Amino acid sequence: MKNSIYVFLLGLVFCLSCQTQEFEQGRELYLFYCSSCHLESGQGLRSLYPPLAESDYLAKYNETVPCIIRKGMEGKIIVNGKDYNAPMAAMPKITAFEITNIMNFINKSWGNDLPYVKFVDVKNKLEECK
Amino acid sequence: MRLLSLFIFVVMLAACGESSKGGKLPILGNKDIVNGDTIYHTVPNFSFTNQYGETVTNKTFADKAYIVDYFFTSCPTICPKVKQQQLRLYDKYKNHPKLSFLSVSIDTKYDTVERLANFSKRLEIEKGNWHFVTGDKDEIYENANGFFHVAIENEDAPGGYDHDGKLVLIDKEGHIRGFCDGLFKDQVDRFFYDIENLLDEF
Repeated sequence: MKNSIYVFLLGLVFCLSCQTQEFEQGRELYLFYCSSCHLESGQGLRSLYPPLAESDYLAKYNETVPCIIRKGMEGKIIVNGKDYNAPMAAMPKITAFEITNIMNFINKSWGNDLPYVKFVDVKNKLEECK
Repeated sequence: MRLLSLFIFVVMLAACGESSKGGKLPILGNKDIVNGDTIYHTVPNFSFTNQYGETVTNKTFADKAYIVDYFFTSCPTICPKVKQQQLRLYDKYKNHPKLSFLSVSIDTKYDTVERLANFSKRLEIEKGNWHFVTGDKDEIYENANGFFHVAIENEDAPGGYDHDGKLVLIDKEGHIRGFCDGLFKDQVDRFFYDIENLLDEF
């Protein structure tokens, strides 16, 4: 009887942890590839690196994000009314699968509620990148 | 055997005592004894140019403590995280008359005065207490160890340079009095105490 209570509690802990750890892979990949500059909560760094959390740019240009991640980015952009102009490094070896995971994590984290992206759409988009 | 463990225990206690809050910060680095006097490690002489085109030397910090890090503006890995932590320190001490910040770029090719100025502006640094500097490449690399830093050009490293994320605290005599790894928030939390401790000596 006592054992079954433990099993029940353990199960409960697992369930709860599943709920809070959505996009676990995306989170790990984000921390590895992106968090150096955009930082651990997508807050960016002052006027140097733009935020991803509640970013109007991310919402508006979401379909271009796969190419930005793979090819990098240069030049001035305006995010939430503030201009940024630091080059973002290309990541030529990052896969469509990894980008999908990262995007779904970003799109649903830190107050963001942007649409889910599908692997097949990311893959097709990457073939069109300039 | 019992005596030995007692001895180790006493040594450990003594070691703890030295670093506990309230005690004077130690002077770090190798010591020399010359004619019975202890000569402590001091940081090397340097002459850099900061983001405003001004010359920065040891004399700039003659009556100040300062915190030194090595970085480069295009660093894709640890630097932004270290800068995030340094900004916590800067926000507290930016108007402090006795504490300055010195960030030495190890990318002397790319990080011109203009780029350093832009970087500092983008970090929203007010003119005064935080110097982002460049200088003679050989001098920067040769002096790194004297500041307890590591700087190595390495084309296999991300961004082309190997370096560390340490923040090194130097007193007005040029002695190294403390350091922390600027990558870790909890280490920087403790570093605040070291800084306060040193500022109490003024």
